[in-house]
Amino acid sequence: MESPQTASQRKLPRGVDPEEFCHDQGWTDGLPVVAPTPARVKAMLATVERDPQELLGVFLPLRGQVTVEKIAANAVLAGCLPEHFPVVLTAISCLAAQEDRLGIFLTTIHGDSPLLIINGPVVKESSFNAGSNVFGPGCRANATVGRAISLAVRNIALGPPGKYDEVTFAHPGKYSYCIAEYEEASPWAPFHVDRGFKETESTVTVVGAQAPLNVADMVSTNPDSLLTTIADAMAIRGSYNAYFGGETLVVLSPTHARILADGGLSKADVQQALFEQARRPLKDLRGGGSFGFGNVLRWPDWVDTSDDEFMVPIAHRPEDVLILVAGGRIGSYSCVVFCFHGFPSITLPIERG
Amino acid sequence: MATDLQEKPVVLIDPTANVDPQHATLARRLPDLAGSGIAIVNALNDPDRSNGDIILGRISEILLASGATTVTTIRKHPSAQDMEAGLLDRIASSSNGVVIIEGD
Repeated sequence: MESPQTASQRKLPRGVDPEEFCHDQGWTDGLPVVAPTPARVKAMLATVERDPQELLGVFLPLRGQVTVEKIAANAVLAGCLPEHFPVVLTAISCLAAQEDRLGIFLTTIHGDSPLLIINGPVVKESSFNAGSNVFGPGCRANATVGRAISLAVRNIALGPPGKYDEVTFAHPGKYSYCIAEYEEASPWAPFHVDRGFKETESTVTVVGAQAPLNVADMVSTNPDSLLTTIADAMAIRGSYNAYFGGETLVVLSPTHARILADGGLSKADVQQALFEQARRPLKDLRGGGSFGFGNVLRWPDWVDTSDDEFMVPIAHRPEDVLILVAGGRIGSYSCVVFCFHGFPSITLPIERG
Repeated sequence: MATDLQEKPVVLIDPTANVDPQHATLARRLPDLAGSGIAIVNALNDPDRSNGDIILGRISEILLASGATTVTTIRKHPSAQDMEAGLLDRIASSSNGVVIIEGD
């Protein structure tokens, strides 16, 4: 006997292709999706001990009610395996934890997107990619988990482009933006351990991120020279960070991380060095970029705005430089990812049923 | 698309959310504006944009023409930043009503 139809169920007319129906309803990002049938959604829900109707939050600007079941439906749409669902749910909890900041984060025409960073045993257990091509395609876990967040944001919080989403450019990470830390290739403790979690715990960190800027330094063999290159990439006039602060994520390749560690630097040393070196003279920042936008500068009090030569910090505190190790072992590159000042990063543990 | 399609009807779980009704309760309305002080908070993402001032100026004129004694315009920092501490209390203590304009 057919179970009664609930308010969240949609019965398709006979002969209608479910995938085409999803596109017609505006549920997709334009790429093919997996139709969220009740059986598939149920398989997602079976991986967590949560009430499907549990309300996780109300997301602006649509004021969409975020329930566990709705997130499961979006995880199916994105092509997730059931084992991915606890990760997806944790990422949504990260967004819900800063619900009051979501409206501006998701609607700013600046074009930031949630970037997920996965740490802990789940990286291997669910085959997340932390190595070569880490920001790129080819890994189902990274691709579908990141996409599930992007679809959930669209379907629950933001609506289709043109409704509340008037971003000028966006960036490719808006389709899917999920990486893992390459913990075995890092000379330091994992990112989540720095945030107070055990190495044996699995976590999701969400940051509001721009596209990654690749930083090539093929020549430096010592920390001073390498940090000069990375700091230079951080200190551009065109970033919001130069005027409003916030976090900057620096993703070091294993090769670059090893140069810094072999030079005797701890991760905190690297953060301190980039805090001190990623600066621009005030005269370079005045009169352009975002100088004076909104009649406000969020520079620290100790910035002397009467001195044109004053070196203005891009990161206002060493801890605002987030250090992660990821990417291919062969390659003298790192990435700088500017993060939105209105949405500080947050890390939560993954709970599984 | 009409090939390889199912004979039985298909049911899908709608991934879009129900929209939560606004929970905020409306403030008590002034019976009229005569003799009242009104605060206008410019909470636009960029409060310096001239179009915002044009709108707020026009609202000011309407309020004054409708009997308000004073209209005070306050600029809030961009909406990504928290409201300055104490600002709401100051508005509440010095005004009978408030108009907030938000946008990007």
